[in-house]
Amino acid sequence: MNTILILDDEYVVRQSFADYFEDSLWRVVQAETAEQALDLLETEQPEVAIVDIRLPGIDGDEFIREAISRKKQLAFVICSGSPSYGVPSDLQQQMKVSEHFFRKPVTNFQELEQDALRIMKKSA
Amino acid sequence: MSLNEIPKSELEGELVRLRQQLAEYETIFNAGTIYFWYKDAHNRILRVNNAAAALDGYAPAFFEGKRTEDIFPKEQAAAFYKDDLQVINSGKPKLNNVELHTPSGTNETRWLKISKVPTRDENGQVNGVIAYGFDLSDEEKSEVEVERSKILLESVINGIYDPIFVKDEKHRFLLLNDTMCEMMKKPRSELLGKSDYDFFSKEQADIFWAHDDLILGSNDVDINEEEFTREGQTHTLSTIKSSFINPLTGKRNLVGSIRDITARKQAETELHQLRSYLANIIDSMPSIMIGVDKEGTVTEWNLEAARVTGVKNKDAIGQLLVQVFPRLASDMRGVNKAISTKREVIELKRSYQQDDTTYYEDVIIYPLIAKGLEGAVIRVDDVSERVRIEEMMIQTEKMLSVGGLAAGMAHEINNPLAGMMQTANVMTNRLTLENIPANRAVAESVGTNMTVIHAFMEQRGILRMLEAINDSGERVSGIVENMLSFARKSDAQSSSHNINDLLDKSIELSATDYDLKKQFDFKSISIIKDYAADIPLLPCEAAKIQQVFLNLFRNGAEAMQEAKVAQPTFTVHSYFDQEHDSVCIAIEDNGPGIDDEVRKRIFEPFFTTKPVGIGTGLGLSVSYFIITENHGGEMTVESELGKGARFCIRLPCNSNGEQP
Repeated sequence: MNTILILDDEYVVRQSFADYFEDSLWRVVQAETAEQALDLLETEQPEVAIVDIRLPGIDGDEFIREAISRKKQLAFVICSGSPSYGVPSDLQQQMKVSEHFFRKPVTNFQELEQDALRIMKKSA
Repeated sequence: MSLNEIPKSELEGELVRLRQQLAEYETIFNAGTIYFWYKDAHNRILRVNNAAAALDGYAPAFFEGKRTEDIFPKEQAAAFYKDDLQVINSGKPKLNNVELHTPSGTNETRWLKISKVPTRDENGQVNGVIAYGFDLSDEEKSEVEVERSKILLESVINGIYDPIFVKDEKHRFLLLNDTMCEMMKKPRSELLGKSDYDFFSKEQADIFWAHDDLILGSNDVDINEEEFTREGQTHTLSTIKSSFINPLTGKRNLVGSIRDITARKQAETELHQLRSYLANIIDSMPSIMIGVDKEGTVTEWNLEAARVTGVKNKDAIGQLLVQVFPRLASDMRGVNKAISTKREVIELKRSYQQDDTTYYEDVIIYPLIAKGLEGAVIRVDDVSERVRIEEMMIQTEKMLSVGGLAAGMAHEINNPLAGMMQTANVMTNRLTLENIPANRAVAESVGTNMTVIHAFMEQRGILRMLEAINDSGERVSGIVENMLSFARKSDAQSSSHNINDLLDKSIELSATDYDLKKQFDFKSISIIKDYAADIPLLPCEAAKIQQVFLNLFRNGAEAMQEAKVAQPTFTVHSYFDQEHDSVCIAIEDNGPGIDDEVRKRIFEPFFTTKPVGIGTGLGLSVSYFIITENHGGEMTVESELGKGARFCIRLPCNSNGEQP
């Protein structure tokens, strides 16, 4: 069973992702903030993370950089509701970060799941 | 022989003879009208004959033995003595001196011709003066008068700085003043009696002669200006000539005076140059400049004023402003206010209607107060374009602020929207999908199965409701997405887009674009899409290209709505032109079409067929700009009246060169 980390400060959104991935037989771990997520990574080893960008405290981009620098073995799919957001160029270069950026609301969960699986396998 | 040696009888006889002789001389002395008197060397009158004494109305005895100052006023006496002394000191006679004498006690003047001869004692020393004289004859008198008048005339004309001359009927110099002689560089004696032929070449003299003849034959005053060069400097001379009848000869003579008007001429020329310089400046201004006096009479009228009104400068000057420029009639109040307050009166963005179009102008009235002449200058600038630019900027500003607001709100809307829609998605999955193990397990544990649950949900419309939540959410998401197009900055990097998607987005946005004044209802328009499928992705700024499409749809919709087209239809074509490596888009409507006049100007900035306030006249020009300048493409329009309009856009697939 693959483990997925859902990082989103909005409970309802986070929960909808969690519900979907649980139904799809993923093991789901949740974090409300990047700090929480980084703590979680000390004990958990998720293969992939769905990362919201606008977060209180450390933002999503920074979280990804920090996680990579800590040599954590997980891939990332960015998912943001902010229309002005663009994936920073340093993250675009990263093999572990999906080149597809999902805009919230996500209307097609399957597409998101497929992308998560793809980037997970690609970076493994 | 001494007197004593002469016999007495002889002496007596001699005495008788002397007495007779004395009586004779005495008679001669007093006979006739000749005046006789003699004086000693000290202004004492010794003898006066009857005629001389009678001149002053006295007997001789009244004068004899008296000093002149005892009889005549002091100044007169001194003058007499001074005259005497000339003779006494020189010892020479002074003859035929003409003097004016006013007899004492009268006002009449008499012309006397007086001669004075010195008398001498036995030693030959001058010891007095004998004077004799008589009244001048009438003829002699007039000669004196003439001589005096001549002296007066000469001193008068010589006192005048301008050269003056008189020519007789035969063109000969009769009179010249000193300045004239100086000018001719000849002494008077060489000029008098001579004519132009003595000084000038024959050709020149012929001309002068003929000209003088004209003056001699008329009563007109002739003023002639001519230039000549002296010592390297050009002088302008003004010669004024007229003719008069010489009373002495009864012939027509010519009198002329010459004035060097070089300085005045220079001042005039400078004034003229200054005027035309000023006029050129005023004429070269793009503003209407009109000078008026207090009464509203036009004093200045520049080229722009003439162009705008069609009234020429010469037809406007001196006319009332109201008559030549009725639109400015109300500004006379401003003119009076400017004059009385000595401050300019400014009225900005004043609107007026002409040919169903609203124009805007700035009117500034400057007071002019100089040398008691009161007036004002009215300056009028057409600011219609500026007003339209301002309106355009306001509109752009509005759109940008809508975009900015949308950008700020989008995140806030998207998150709850995600919560709602994503949850509904998961709900649908859990209520319908049998392949989710948890679904089956939970259904069994509560004593049912997924088929039953699905059937229930289906029949109770729950799935339709979930679908409705999703659809509504998607619409909200779409609106937010579309509003955001306005927020994207123009320097946003162009990325590759599918032109058909952009067309679809624009059509969608046009449909949701509601017009406050309900000018048109986009939803009533049918849209036929004729998209080619093989169109490559186009590098462009999506927001700008969308703006162009939006403009075309909006204009077309308005035109069709206005013309009350029964079945308004847009036909949208897109295709790839391989030969030119470009994407072509054509948007057709079945509206009223565009006439040639409008079609030629349709892409001109600020050209609009709509009244100000409704359209800025910028939509199409901005569109044209976006296509041609920003994307290196082409934009054209084809139309015939009554047959709709077709806008064609060609965008090059490789426009890297033109991209900023």
